[in-house]
Amino acid sequence: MIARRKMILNTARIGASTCVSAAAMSLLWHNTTRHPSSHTLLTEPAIIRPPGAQGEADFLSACIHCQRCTDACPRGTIQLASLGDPAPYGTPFIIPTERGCDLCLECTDACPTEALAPLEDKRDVDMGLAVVDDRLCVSANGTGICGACHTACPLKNDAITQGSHNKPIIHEDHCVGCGLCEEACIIDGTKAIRVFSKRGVA
Amino acid sequence: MKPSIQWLRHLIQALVLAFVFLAAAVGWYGSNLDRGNVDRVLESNSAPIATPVLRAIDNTARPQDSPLAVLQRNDIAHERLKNVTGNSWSGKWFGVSLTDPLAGVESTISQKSLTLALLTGLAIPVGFTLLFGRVFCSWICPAGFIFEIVAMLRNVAGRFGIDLKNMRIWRGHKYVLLTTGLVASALVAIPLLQYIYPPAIITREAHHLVHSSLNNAAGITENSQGIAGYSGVVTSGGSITSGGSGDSGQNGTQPAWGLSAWAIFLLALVGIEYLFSTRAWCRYVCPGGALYSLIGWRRPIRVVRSAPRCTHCADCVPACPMGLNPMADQMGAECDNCAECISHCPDDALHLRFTLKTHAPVAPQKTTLKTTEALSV
Repeated sequence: MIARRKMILNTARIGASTCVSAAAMSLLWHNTTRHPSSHTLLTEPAIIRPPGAQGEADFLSACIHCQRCTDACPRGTIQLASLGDPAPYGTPFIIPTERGCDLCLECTDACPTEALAPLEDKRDVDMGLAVVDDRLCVSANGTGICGACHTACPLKNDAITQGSHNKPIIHEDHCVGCGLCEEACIIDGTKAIRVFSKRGVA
Repeated sequence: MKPSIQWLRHLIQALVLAFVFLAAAVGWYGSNLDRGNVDRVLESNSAPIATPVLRAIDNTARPQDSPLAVLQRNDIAHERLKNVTGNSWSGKWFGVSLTDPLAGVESTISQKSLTLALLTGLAIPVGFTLLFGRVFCSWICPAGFIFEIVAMLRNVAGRFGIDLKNMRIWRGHKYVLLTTGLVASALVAIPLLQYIYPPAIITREAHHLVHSSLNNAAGITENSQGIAGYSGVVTSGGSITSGGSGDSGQNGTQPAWGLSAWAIFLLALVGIEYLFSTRAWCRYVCPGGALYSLIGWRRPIRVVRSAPRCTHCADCVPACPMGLNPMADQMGAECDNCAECISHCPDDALHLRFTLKTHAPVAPQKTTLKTTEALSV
């Protein structure tokens, strides 16, 4: 009788505990994941992840929020998302307008879970694609001659070539989305050349 | 009372907690060296804590008074700093890669594959736990250290006659939470337990706190600006604003505090433990502690009671931080080998021994013990 009562008690405990923790987990999942909203503009760049990140879902399933990539980054490019940042809390992301990536690949060495997969060559990086806004670019809209993005590009003459008046021409096959061009762009505010993530909207 | 081993334990805990903050500062140092931000903080003596800490890091990392050019000296510093990245959750400490088993298990389950990098990081912590049991909880965990301080404060309050409640609930909750968390992580393919695991919260909050205060010391405002602006909010003046919710024009000039809501979660735990239930998180809820308990269940190095010497004085019972009863040989999986009971035993009846004999994971059997305090598991 006592054993039976104990069994019932234990079952009740496990049941209650499971319900509470399952509720907590679903709350966590709901509140920490970025759900795409219907009124997100298509012109909005998705989150740029550090080099070596695969698709956004694969990246999020592996990342343990350990900050080793941010610590390893010698340029201070990789930031850790806090509340209010565009990326889910605790994950690393890059804002090329502030700091582009110089493709040293230290972060892929540092990552303990291969959320940033190890890469041999900086040409294998695929963080995004630079897009030029001809209305803003001084070399394109005829208000000046610049060429800062071409100068900054680590894969120059492959990823960026120059047209007339140093107008940048992006080559999709070679651009890895490092964002050094965006950082170097002389336009204030919204840059004339911006990196857009190709890895799918998170 | 043999306090020496306890002082050693608390010293290690304090060093780990300090190292978590120091590691965040080292990370900031490495990321801001080439941009001149480090030199900016070192030259200005405006920051009371940041400047001396960064100077100490600088003295060890960068060759001082060397004929090399600044950039060459920076390269040497970067080379040296490669051996210290991350923190107690996952990090490279002096060249050795270490990852918390909970992080490893969660990440493996949610990405449904085990990576080589993770295996090498897990080898040492798992090996240690197999040998010594849940020693991470008692000797290393920075959150456990904070909770232990809270427990000490409770004892101090008790000495002043303040009677604080000590609720005891079922210990199995943590195993259920671990199971549910891992199943949920597999289902949604995102490691979820890392959000609520206090040592991981501490490492993240330390990172945000240290980075934001060092950024403030260096006069960097870009970190707090432009982030919301990047997602489409651009003012008419063309400059990117610090937030999308109407606080335009500030451009991040106000110092960022850096802590997030998870710090409040941690503070709430501290409050609950102080007021209602001592060491409640570690005893009843912690999924990481549950995992360490399971891994270290059959550890060969454990606390062993010598029955002939034991006088049943029950001094060890209130001393146990995990709420176990060493007098009834409750040194199963839950025991974290902190050796508090050994330090409190006046009869020299408790010892750390190498033995292959194991106890039941939790032994709630009734004993002839008079102290009812210790019995409610």
